[in-house]
Order: sequence, then structure tokens, then C-alpha cells
Amino acid sequence: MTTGDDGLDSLLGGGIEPGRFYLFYGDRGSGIDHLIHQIVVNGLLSPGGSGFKGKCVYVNCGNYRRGRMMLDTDLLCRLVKAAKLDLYEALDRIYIVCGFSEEQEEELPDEVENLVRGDRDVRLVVVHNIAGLFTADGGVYGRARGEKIMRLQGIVYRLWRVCAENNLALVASCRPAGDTALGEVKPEGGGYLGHKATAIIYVRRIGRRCSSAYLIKHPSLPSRGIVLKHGLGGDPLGRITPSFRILFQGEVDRLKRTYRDALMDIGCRRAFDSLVEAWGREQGAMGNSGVPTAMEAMLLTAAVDNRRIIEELLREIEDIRSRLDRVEERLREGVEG
Amino acid sequence: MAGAAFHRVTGWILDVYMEGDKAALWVKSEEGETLQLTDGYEADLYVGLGSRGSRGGEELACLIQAHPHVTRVEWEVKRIPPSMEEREILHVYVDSIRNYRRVLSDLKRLDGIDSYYNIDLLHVQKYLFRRGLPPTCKAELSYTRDGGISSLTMLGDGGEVKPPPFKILIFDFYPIAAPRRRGGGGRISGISILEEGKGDPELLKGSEGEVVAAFQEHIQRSDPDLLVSEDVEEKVSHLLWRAREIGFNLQLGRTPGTLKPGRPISHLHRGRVLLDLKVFLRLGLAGIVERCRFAYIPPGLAAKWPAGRLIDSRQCYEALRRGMPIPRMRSFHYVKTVREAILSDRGGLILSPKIGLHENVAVLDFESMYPHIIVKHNISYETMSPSPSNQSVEGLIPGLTRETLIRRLYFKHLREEYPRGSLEYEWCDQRQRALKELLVCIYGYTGCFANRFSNISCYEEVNRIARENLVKAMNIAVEEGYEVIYALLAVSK
Repeated sequence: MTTGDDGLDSLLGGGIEPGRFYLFYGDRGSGIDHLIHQIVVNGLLSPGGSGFKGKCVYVNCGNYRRGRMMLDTDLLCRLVKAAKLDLYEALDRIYIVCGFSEEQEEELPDEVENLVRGDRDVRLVVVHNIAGLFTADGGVYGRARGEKIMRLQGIVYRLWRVCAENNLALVASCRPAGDTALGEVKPEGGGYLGHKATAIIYVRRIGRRCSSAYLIKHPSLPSRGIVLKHGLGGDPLGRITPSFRILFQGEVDRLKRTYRDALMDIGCRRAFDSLVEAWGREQGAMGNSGVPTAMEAMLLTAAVDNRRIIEELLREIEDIRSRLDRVEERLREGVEG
Repeated sequence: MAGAAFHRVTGWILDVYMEGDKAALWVKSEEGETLQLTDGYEADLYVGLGSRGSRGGEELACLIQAHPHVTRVEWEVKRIPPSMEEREILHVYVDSIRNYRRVLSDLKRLDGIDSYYNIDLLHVQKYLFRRGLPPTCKAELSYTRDGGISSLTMLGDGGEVKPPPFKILIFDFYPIAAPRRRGGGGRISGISILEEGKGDPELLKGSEGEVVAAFQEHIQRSDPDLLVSEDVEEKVSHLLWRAREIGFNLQLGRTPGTLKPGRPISHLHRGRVLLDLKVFLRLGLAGIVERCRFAYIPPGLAAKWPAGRLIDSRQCYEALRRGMPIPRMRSFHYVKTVREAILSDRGGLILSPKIGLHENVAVLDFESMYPHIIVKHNISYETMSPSPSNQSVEGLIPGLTRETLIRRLYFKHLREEYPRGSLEYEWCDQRQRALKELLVCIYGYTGCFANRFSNISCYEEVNRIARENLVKAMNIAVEEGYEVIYALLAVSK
């Protein structure tokens, strides 16, 4: 299965294989979170499209009170559409399993096992921020830290076992330990995570839209690094279902930058502005609608607004027509008289 | 009980805590006296293992029964949340509170136990739940000469506006320097004291020894029930450590005690409840009483705990009352497909405002909309599960919400019968505000990850119905010829 990036695929000797454990780690902004979303979508692709054509279990480990580290559904929908998959069907093939505390994360392997046993189409397990809950208290040292790391090891082992027994690919992400500016590039969560992983890749942002990826560990390939010229996308993460207003605003801003400014005809630009006004008026209805992406809600609203304008025009035409009929009638009466 | 002479007292339950293997209850009598009584308590827990008939289950039950600190075990059929499926689980009775943790840790070493219940509640909660006794309530008690309670009858003072006649003492002091360590530094040069009903605060001054001695003398003379100060536990602790430093055995409680390193200070103010000044000023005594009655916990905890924990306490009480065992705090299940997650969690609803200056604008505000939705649509953990329980039976959350809602509206409307600024008005207001704080949080807590019963579908369903209500209300206004300029439905995150 492809990671979605040719450079990363070549670094891994072809991509992601079933039954193996891949660990990607990097800072916020390195594109790791985008990569995780991309891998989730790629798992749904057919083998011809470099995927597993199976279902995917997305495991999220993060406390929303401490930091935003969750699935960005809008990004996911965009990636699904970019992969030319049916949106609703694709979203039905991705399971979300969440743990918001260390104790809850300890229960996640059992949840994953139940899902995998109950649905034989699952081919891929993606764990987002696997060590985050256990390393959030940076000030914990000594025995308490040792205990936390031991508990994390238990989780890693159980997830790895479930995936290995069912021949599933396991992909996990985490942050680097320590200050990356000082050159420390080990993954957080202790050595066991790195020990259990089949392949480890460290991703680091080196420019505005440029990242470097280093293969730290692989069973058959030597360690090396490459530059990913286009980076790995942004880092727009929010809560499980980000607020519609945020999605809407992001979408409008993006369209203004990339679409409106490229419109040649001044009339089209004005039409676009009037649509933005209509969308702004009906944000409440869009937020309450049953469609999954902001763009679709905006299209629906645009269609409704267009319909409203057409109805108004039809009424005006009808009015003009009746007035015209009356004038014709009077003219005819005058001529005859 | 042969030969034991019974005494009777009618009064308010001031404080409850566990002492040894018994519950200690402080009662403020109608005559104004305070007395300490004790009540029996048996520590217990539930464990889930193989069924009674199975070999593994029977063997494990025998093994647990053989533990030196387990007095007896009993198989009981319970409805297990959140699925509410009936299951036979083992009720384990422990010989004393002291050995409770040891038994629990020994059980955790046994293979074959898949679940534990009722293990992360405080013993005092379990005692109060079992008794169905909300602290601060009025009760009639009969007791033996040694203070053992033989009967306890609650007198149903739920409709009372006036809070119990607990005597309040507010104090504060300013250390000369911030304490460097326990008892080290932070010498006390004066303590200011304000007693309820007395006008100006009194200032105790002099050498540190004189100040501390005068404070003790004042406490013993005025005999307050509630000690109130800013960061009260820190203040009392500092006071006790400073007293120890200068060789003074300061007595703040109604029973003697001595400060020892490593021991909590709670045994040094037995019979008097510590309350934080900020909480006291925000809620008032009547508000704290409402929190006690809601959560079935003593006033010290009721003032200290956040709303979520109070709701948890009440949920546990309701669950036990309905014969459910209490699951551990850690359980939380969020397993959905992405499509389900996107479409079910739509949050609140904001209709964009029409910008400009508007005249003749009226505001429509829903009265306790979320609690009413919970009650009307019977939204609860068990009714919203994939295999919902009988919908005709009122769920756990609607039950407690309905009771709290009725109580809040009772005090809210009763308040208007008293003149503004009167004590009665203030008490009603304190009570209804305290209940409002809890009602506002009940719905948000149903979707909180820290909720042990945790069923996020409840939260999503309440949001969905609330959105529909807002749209319905807006459409009614539009049909009646009004223009809607703004609508907002805020959600708890």
C-alpha cells in the first residue's frame, strides 16, 4: 500500500505491507498528521490503486482538554474525494476508536481486537499519537514515569499482537522526544515502541512546504534520508467533528484565495460574492444539514439561493407579463373604439 | 442491645466521615448542641467472573471466600451498565476498611476476574448511598449511650427555604512571609475573625503564641460548625504547623487531636467543616446544602468538588438504588464509523445575525431547555444504548434531572414571593443557582470522557433535539410575521 508520497514509498522499499508495524514520528507542522489521514484513505483503495481495499480502524489517543490531536473529518473527506472514492461508502469503511485518558487507551487494544474479529474486512490499523497521553506530563520522572512507560509498552504489545495475528498493517504516529532543535530525534514513549516497530521514519519540516524524511529503522534497508519537495500537507487538526463555522470560514477563505481571484469575468466575481453572502446568511442551516463536508453544504445553499433568485425572477416575469397583457388589452380596446 | 438506654435527638446532619470501620456523624440538634454519633458500615465490592454454575467461577468464588480478610461472598444478579444485561456477579464483603485496598490488590492478581464494580467510590459515599442519607438534612435519631445509632428517620425538610442553623466563622490571616516549608517561615502576626450575626470583624493581635492561643480560645467559646477562609485547607494546615513550630498544641476540632507528619489534617478539625471562602460567597450556605442533597456527600466535599464529580456521585447513588453495580471510572467507548461520527455529532446551531441596528426586538429564551429535553424524551445511558432498555421506564439521567429540575423551578418561583433583598429571597436564589449550575452540566457530562457511564449518543441526541427546537421556534416566529435577526444554541464541549 502506498503512503501517498512517492518519496516515502521509495524510502520504505515500496510502501506499507500487511503484518508489519510502521512508526512515523515528527513535530506538529511536519505533516505527520496529514500523512496519517492520507494513509487511512489509502487503506481503502483497491490494490490496483496501491491500497488494501479493506476497512481501516483509526485509533485516536489524545485528551481534548490538553491539546488538539484528533481526526480532521473535512481533510479526510477531501482526501477521499481526491482518491475518487464514493464519499459515504468510504466514510462507512473507517472506524474511529478513541481513548481520552491513559486508562482508556489501555482498553483500546481490546476494542480493536473486537472490531477486527467482528469485521474481517479490516486490513489496516492506524494509531494517531500513540504515546501522547503517557508523555503529556513532561515533568513526570522516576518511578511514576517508569510505570507509565510500562503501561504504554503493554498497549503497544497488545496492538502489535492483534495486528500480527490478523495479518494487518499497523501504522502509528508520535512526536519526537525532547527538543528536536537540539538534534534529539528519538520517538517519545521509550525504546520499546521503536523496538517493536518494523520500520521507523522521522519526518522534519525544513522549509515552508518542504520536509525531510529519515529512515531510522528497516529490516532490510539501510538508514538514509530524503527531501520531500512538496512536504506532507498542512496540519489543520481539530476536534473529532470540527465546528462547522471553522470549516466554513476555512473553505470560504480558501475559495476566495484560489477561486474568486482567478475569475476573469467581473460578473462572475460579483456572482461569487453574492453566493458568499447567501452562505453567510444560512450558516445555521448548513451547520444543521446532514451532509458531511462544508463544501457540499455550501453547494446546497448555493443551489437553494439560485432557486430563490429564479423564483423571484419568475414572479417578476409573471408580473410583467400580466401588466403587458393589460396594456395590450387596453390598446386593443382603444383601437377598436 | 440488651440493657442499652436509648436517647433521641432531632437535628441536622452536619458532617459525615469514616472513622475506623464506622461512619461518624455529627448532628446539630434543634437545641443548638452538637454531638457525635457512630453507625456501622461494611466495606464491600463486586467482581465479575465466570458464572455461578461454571467450574472456573465456583473455584474463584471459593478462593476469594478463603481470603483472610473476606468475611463472606454472595452471588447476585445485577443489570450491568451500559448494556443493562443481567449478569451474575460476586458480592465480596471485606472485614474492615483498613484491609480493603489489600483485598482489592490481591484480587487483581487473580486470573479470571474480568470486571470490578463499586471500587472507586469513597467509603463515606457508599455509606450515605446505602443509608439514602443526604448530609445537612433534618433527621430524628435514636442512639445508645456509647453513641451508636440505633435508628435514623429523615424528617423531610426538602421544601425548607432557610438553611440549617449551622454556625459560621470566617477567618483570615496574613503570614509575615510566604512559608518556605511546613511550619517554616510565614509567621502569623494576627488573625481576623468574622462571625455571622456580629457586625465588625475582630482582630487577634500580639505575639504568634498569643494569637494562636486567642484563636483557639475564640473557637472553643463560639463553637462554630463551619470554618470559612480563602484556601481554607492551606490556611488551616499552615496554622497547625506554625502552632506546632512554637510548641502549641492547637485544637480546632470538637475532639482532641495532635498534628503528626504524614497524616492528613482532617482529624484535627473533627466536628467542624472547612469551606473555601470563594465557594461560600458564590453559593452561600443554602447553595452548599443543595449540592449536599443533590450528590449525597458531606458539605466539605460538596463545596470542593466540581459539578462533574457531583453529578457522578448522584448518578452512582441512583444506579445503586436501581440495583446496578458501579463500573470503574476508566470505561469509555467511542467506536463509530467516521460517517456516523460526522452525522451524529453536529454540535449546536448558530443562525447568522442580521447586521444593523434593529428596533422593537424581543428575546425568546428557553427555560432549562436541555434538562427538559432529557426528561421529556427519556434520554439516558441505558435508553440510548444500541440495545435500549424498556423506554416506558424512566432512565437514570431523566430521573435525577426531573427531580432537580422541579426543585430548581420551585425555588426559582418561590423566590419571587419574597421581597428582593430579604434573607428568604437570598436563600431561594442561592438554592436555585446551585441547582442551575448542576442542571447545566448534566447534559454536557453525558458526553464527557471522564463519565464512568459514558454514552456519547445521549449528548448527541440532546443536541439534535435542541437544534430542532430552535428551528421550530424560529419558524413559528416567522409564520407569525416576525423577523428573526439572530438565534443561538450553545453546546457544552
